[in-house]
Amino acid sequence: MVWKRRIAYINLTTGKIISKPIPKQLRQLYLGGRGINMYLLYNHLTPEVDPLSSENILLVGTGLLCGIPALGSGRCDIAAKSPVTGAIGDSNIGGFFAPELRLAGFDHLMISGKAEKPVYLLANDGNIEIHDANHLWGKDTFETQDMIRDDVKDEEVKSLVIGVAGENMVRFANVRTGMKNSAGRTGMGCVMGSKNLKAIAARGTMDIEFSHPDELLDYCKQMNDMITETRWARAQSKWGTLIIYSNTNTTGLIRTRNFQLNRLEKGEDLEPENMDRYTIGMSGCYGCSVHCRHRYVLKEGSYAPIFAEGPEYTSLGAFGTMVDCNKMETVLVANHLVNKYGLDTLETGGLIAWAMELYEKGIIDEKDTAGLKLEWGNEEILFQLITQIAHREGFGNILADGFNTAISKIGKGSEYYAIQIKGMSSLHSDERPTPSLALGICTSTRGADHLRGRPAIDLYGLPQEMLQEIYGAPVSSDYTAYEGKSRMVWWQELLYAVTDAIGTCKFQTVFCAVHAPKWTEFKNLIQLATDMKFTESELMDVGERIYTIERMFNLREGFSRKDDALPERYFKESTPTGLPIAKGKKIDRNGFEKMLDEYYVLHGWDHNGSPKKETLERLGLDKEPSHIV
Amino acid sequence: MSEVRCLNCLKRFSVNAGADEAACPYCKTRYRISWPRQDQPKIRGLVEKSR
Repeated sequence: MVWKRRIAYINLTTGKIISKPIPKQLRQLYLGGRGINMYLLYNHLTPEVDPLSSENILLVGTGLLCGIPALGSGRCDIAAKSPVTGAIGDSNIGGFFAPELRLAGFDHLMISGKAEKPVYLLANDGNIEIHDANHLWGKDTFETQDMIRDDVKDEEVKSLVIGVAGENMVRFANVRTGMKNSAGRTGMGCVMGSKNLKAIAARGTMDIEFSHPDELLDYCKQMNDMITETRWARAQSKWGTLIIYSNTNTTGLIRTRNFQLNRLEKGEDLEPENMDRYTIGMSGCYGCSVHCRHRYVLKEGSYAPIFAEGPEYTSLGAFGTMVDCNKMETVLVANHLVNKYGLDTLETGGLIAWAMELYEKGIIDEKDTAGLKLEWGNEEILFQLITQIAHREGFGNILADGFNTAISKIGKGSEYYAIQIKGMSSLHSDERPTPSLALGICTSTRGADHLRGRPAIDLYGLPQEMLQEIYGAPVSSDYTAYEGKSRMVWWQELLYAVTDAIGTCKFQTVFCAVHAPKWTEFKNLIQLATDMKFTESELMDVGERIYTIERMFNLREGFSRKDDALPERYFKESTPTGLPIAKGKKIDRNGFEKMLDEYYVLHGWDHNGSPKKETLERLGLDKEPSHIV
Repeated sequence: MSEVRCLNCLKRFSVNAGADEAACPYCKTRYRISWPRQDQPKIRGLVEKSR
């Protein structure tokens, strides 16, 4: 049963490892994955610790539904205090690691302290061992996984690993597994590096027993049919998330040259159809029936041969439009480099594009960049900077500390050009024509981000009746409007929090697909898998509880309403191009502040974004920290 | 006949099977079209901007 899965406490300083059951009470309040991780982070992290100190804790958690054959149920949540923002650090990763950890007997790991020398953890059928990793230090993310499989002499071992970026404590270093999957955001690879933790490996043969297996199987089949019948999943299974580019670059919703343009002229080569030249097939994560991952080969060029997976839509922006490179091959090489080194795609591309704009404007010059001419569209400069960042060399060493530190080092008004919120860059979407999307990146608890509360279906101009049915109150069909948009963001935040807690894929809920599984289907799956019963309203309360405890964490670290703020450029500079619906748009400051007020009310927070006493009592958060585990 | 949603006026309109271009009958925006599946058209980009 799920209830047999344990939480392991691993102290890397002392080498002590203990494990305990996960109380059902905690499951009912937070489910698993991100939910329980956020509870543990709030309860166990001492406020105001340096994220790179041994006092930071690293949490790894499988979702409550991990292992069901549906909805990409192999998601794993990794959390710590973020070295990028100083706020909640939290990142979600697909692939096959989480089911393997669950098969090995564990649902959550809480890793504290710092190893004296490089180590990796191996979880195997109820045991966890600490292994020497000196021989892995300096290896890239692909080599590391191969070498661990060789060490353990088992091809089925799955690992979460860091690359040289994590070893060098690049603040936005990620955690990777397999060829493709990354826990990209908020620098969890940097936290692993700071603990001398090169990898976490798992291999298990313990059964995962579900409460009603026959009915669950039938229902999973229904869920897979439900998602694969959506237009979104059908297109995604052919071209992955790259399909988003066709809409955003055609419309004028994609950041280009950092923030100067909102579509890439002559950007046809980046259209998803052109991936057909390089793709040798599609692959998927555990429990996925969509298969959105391109597997590609690059046979020519100075970096060839490359055999890799990706790129995502995020890569097209980070290494395409943002830096004004309009060749698919540039994106494919850059995608491979960041994956090999273990760098967050979005942060890397966002910082490089920002530096290119600073160079163009004369705020930095070749004296600052150690001779690099940071010109738009120069792919060699792009590749060099990626490599420099990962190795903390040259100008890359300044960017390797992320926006907050780089801004303070460079100064000279550079902050104005930085597209970041709470110190973290966002997806390269241009949210000036879309107030709902702009609000979502501001209120995201982990810093600017599209995967925390983005109401992407707002872009479809759906009928008001349909929107009301989904969101439970009137919402404008016009994506350039402000009415009802706070409700969309709030609702999506709760849905994504629960999605991350049950460990299924966001692309298989109401993210880009309207007719995808959500509250009703989630509660049914939970009941069939675990026998825990929730109403839809109770499940929304779980999402509210998770989001609010994240907010409490951030408030404790000194964040408040002032940090739920857009970069000034969103208010001052209008979109210069695009279709008529998107051209000439900027965010209205009063409209934005009104949305933010409404959003706080929906959460039960006060004007400054602090949860009200009655909200805390309703969610049981007035008892935190409660130390249930 | 299959439909796409115009990216400018957000209204749905029909696209002839296998067509590689189509214009929105409401706002006249012209698009290049691709087909992830035989029965599902998708907007690929603008005609005006690519020629």
